[in-house]
Amino acid sequence: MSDINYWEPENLTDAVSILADRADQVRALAGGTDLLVKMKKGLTNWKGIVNLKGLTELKGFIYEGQTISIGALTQISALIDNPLLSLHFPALVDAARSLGTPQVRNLATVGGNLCNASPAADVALVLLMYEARLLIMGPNGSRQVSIQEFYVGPGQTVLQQGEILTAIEIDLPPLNSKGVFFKHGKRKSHEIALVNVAVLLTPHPGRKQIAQARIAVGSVASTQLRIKDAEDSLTNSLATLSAFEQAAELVKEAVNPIDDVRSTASYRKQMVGVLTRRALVEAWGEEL
Amino acid sequence: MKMSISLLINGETYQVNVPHKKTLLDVLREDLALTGTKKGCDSGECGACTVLMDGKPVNSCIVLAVDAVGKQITTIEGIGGITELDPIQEALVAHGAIQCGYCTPGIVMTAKALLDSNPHPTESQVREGITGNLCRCTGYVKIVEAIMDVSRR
Amino acid sequence: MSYSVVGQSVPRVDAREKVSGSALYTGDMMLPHMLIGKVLRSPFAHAKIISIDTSKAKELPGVKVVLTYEDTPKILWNSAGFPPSPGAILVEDQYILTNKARYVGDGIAAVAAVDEATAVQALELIEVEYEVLPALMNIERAMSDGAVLIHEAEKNIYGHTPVVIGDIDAGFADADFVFEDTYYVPKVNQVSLEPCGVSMAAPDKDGRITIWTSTQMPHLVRSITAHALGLKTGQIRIIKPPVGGAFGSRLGVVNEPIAALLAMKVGQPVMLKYTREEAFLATESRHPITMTIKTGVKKDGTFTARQLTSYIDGGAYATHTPSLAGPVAGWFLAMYKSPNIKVDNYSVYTNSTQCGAFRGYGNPQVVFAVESQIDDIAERLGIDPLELRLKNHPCAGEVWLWSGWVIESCGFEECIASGAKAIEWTKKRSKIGNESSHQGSKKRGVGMGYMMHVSGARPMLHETSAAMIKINEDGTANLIYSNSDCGQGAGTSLSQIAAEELGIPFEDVMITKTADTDVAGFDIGSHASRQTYSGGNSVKNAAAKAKQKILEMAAEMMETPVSELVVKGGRVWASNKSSEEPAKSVSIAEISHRAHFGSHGNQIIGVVSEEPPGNPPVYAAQFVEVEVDTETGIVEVLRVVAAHDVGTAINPAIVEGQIEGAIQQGIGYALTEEYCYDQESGKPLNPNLSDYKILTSVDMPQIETILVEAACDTGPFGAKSVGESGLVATAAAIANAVYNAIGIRFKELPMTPERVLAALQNKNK
Repeated sequence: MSDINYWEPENLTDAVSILADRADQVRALAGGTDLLVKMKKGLTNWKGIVNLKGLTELKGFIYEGQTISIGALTQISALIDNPLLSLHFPALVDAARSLGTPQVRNLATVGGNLCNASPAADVALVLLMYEARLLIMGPNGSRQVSIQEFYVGPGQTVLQQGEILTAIEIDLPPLNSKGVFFKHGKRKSHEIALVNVAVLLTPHPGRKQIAQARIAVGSVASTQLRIKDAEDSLTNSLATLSAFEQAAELVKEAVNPIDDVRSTASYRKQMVGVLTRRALVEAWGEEL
Repeated sequence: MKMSISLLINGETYQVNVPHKKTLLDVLREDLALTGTKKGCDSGECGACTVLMDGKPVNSCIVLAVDAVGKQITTIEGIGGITELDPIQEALVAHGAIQCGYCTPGIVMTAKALLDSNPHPTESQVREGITGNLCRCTGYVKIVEAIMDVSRR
Repeated sequence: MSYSVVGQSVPRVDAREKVSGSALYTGDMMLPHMLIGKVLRSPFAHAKIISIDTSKAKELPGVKVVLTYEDTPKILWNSAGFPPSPGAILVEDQYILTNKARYVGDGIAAVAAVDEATAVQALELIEVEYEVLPALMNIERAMSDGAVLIHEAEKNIYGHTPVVIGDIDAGFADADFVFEDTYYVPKVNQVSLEPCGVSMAAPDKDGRITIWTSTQMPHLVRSITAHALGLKTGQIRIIKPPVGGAFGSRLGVVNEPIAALLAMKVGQPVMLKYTREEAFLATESRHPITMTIKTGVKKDGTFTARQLTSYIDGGAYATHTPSLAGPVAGWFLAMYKSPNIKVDNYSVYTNSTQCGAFRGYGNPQVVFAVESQIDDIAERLGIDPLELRLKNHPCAGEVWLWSGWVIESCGFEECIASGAKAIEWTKKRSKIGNESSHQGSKKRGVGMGYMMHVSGARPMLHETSAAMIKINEDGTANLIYSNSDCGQGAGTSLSQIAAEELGIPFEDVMITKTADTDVAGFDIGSHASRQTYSGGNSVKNAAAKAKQKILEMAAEMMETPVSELVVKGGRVWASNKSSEEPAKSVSIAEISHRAHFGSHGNQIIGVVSEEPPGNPPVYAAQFVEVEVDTETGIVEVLRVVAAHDVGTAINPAIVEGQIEGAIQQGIGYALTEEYCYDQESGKPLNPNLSDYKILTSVDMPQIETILVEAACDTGPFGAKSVGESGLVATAAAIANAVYNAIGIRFKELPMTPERVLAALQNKNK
């Protein structure tokens, strides 16, 4: 219970250098909703905190052409309040709304949701579906990775010593596409997802066939997954219930969930199928 | 390794000397004797410790005190006057929405923020709004009624 | 009858201090030189302590005292707040700190230090060597041949509560059908928002000790704590500040003896505050029970024999378990009439945290089983479930087997009628498995459950309450009462009763907001839904005594016989001789002033210590509509109609609040709540509010409360009770609605999505 060191860098360069010098002993603090709980439970062995609150440039939205850049320190509640996101990325807003509680959403950040690398993360899952690009600043300058490359394992990312996730870029999804986020829990709110699913369907002109499908699933493997087989099965196929059911089956085959206090592997596997099918039906948006 | 900080709480500036890892909740309760803010879980799960930070409800048990520097903090002690209550508080009293009272300060803070940003919410928006405040006494029935009552005024 | 303040939803006497955050709960307090206490808890479910070394902890600067078993009085005690009585078996098997760990979280050592950080650090410095024993996490393992003994009880069974009425075998032989089913209900936690286990002890130099504690039972906590510490009862003063919810979890001693022992050893005040995790780990929750129910029934729905055999998992210490076995029998006996009844309840030790009281005290468990089976019986006999219940329940004028006394009043028929109408029973039951939205995957059903509950625990227990009414110099009144209100609103209802009886405005009655055993007379506390009925009777009678003195004084002043005087609106009125004469009156203020300072030189005081004359049962019929998602197994409760006979509702808003809040706990019991242990290691799996799931505001359905006021003669202004009954029938009603929706009978709670889906898939195989 001894106290910890504390830094409040005023700019990104200072933050990176503090983190780079003491990487094994310090953690970056964003919203703190997970970090502080872990600290209190004594689950940590680090000795200091680098509070990123001074890095105001990492907060908010920048629109450039077809791309929206979200600062890593943007609060989850800011996603909900942003009308442009509601218009273009409704699944992202739904995921934000389903995360934790209103109080937690006012603290938790988009970057935190990604850097925790929890297989159950809600906002991160939708960003995976929207094929986000992650901008990273480190001692050797900046770099960019795709969100698919970002996760290494549960709780583990590609972030190296001293690196900070600074922004998340997402491109406007194809015209007429629709994204859907579904989450499964035992309560309607205040839940860590037993299973979550984010899908995007883009119809061909004429709306009979699917031009493109994206399916991302969470809480069913050690990291969140895009299910390519299921997506490919839908590309250029007719939008029918049986096509969606078949895609859902492929998702079930691709996942490898675990038993824990929250649910069982078998139940999660079944639910990822049900949720995927329902999300696809919802994303298609008209009678099949 | 204490740090001297100044916190702006309910419009007053407080100078405190706190360990880095001490939470805003513990500073409010232990250093400033602002004990209206309650500790129900100490891990951001129950909402009893809700305070407003720059007008938005947050769980003060998962905010470091040092992180609250530069923010405007409002606690239950900053709601209503010496003798008169805020309309939200009056409504909770009138509707019989208070039982053990332990979740109540947090409910007041959340409801305050909710009605400040959306003065006329629907019932489902009220329910969504207070979903981070667990209550074990009321089934939320009279709490929701009270907030809806204020919103109709 | 028309009353002035009884029947009014006046605001609670403590609402404004709570809503403003100024109410000081025990954990909000601070005394000069106050130390912080912490308890070292066993990481093993079952282990002998081979050695314990506290020397490093004692050397840590800021640590004032470290205690282990060696430092505790060698007095065995039982923490249950269950008054000594012929009907109660209290097995004394606890020490303040143990020398053998019997569950994960068992208290091994305690420290007091200058601050929390130091106290926590001190715990880390205590070195304990354990010899780990097998963890017996369920009754099957605990009762198995050769199982190690948790205490000295053969097969870990330490209680058998038998009841025999008539000839059970003859009863079954006489039946047209015999139903036999086994049900299991899990461990669930009360989850008061103020974590259970907060007390502050301050010793003085004259040999006395004051303990502020968040409790339901100030007087019993005083006597139990005195016994555990080897002190005289009067040496301890218990003060009960506002309590942040209880629901049974504070029905007895929680951690007061630890705080007191630390404080006494160091001679300074000690605050001992459990974290949320400790409240799960180390305080009592609801008993898991395995119940086998066998019922013999005639074709016309007449019961010929009813039998209950239950195994009650009491956890690691006896506390309430053997004393709960009696009411468990009582709930079963009392629900339905039968000439032949047999009950066998067994109390079993396991290596889980001890179980105790939780709203309903065994009744929700029994009602879930009985009411599930009743629906199955009704279906087999082709009788409407409502009819079968109406045919067999005991009614006013009949003997109630819980108490052995005649039932004073019964509003059950009206509960059934009004509830069935509100839920549209006839219409909705005819459409079984009614399909709704989402590709036909969701099915709806309605169901109901019935229950009876007590108003106090007479005659099993004495239900003593003491009340004193002091009429002040200005005619206002102080009500001195051991006010164990823990949020339910008893203090307000009792104030209404006093005002009504005295004939003064409600605002002029000031009740002791806190309880203080140095001030108020003996009161059992808040248990068995007794405060309004038992406490209310004492308050009413104390007020009546004061009123009599007021009238006698007024008679002198007005030169009118007492028989011609009435009290109303704070004045004593003489009934008019003729209509021309102006009404003659004198204020209670004038009377009281004269009593204090005029002719008499005494204060008008009414005091009683007594128990109420009866124990009138209350009835409820709860109706629910559910929607089952057959693809996910999720059961959603769409609507609850709760029709409750409470006798006179002294404060309808408070009564509704009790029912509404209880339903949240009842739905949780049915669907989402279960406190789980790893069956091998005995470690709790969900001692937190993320994974122990109590319902949020968006999870709660529409609730419609119907109050049926079948007043009873012995209750204060006809009041009976309501504190516990709101959740007793909820889980049964939900299980019956789920059956109505999907045709599957769940005999185990909670009905989680995993279980529901698995059952649906089994059915479709």
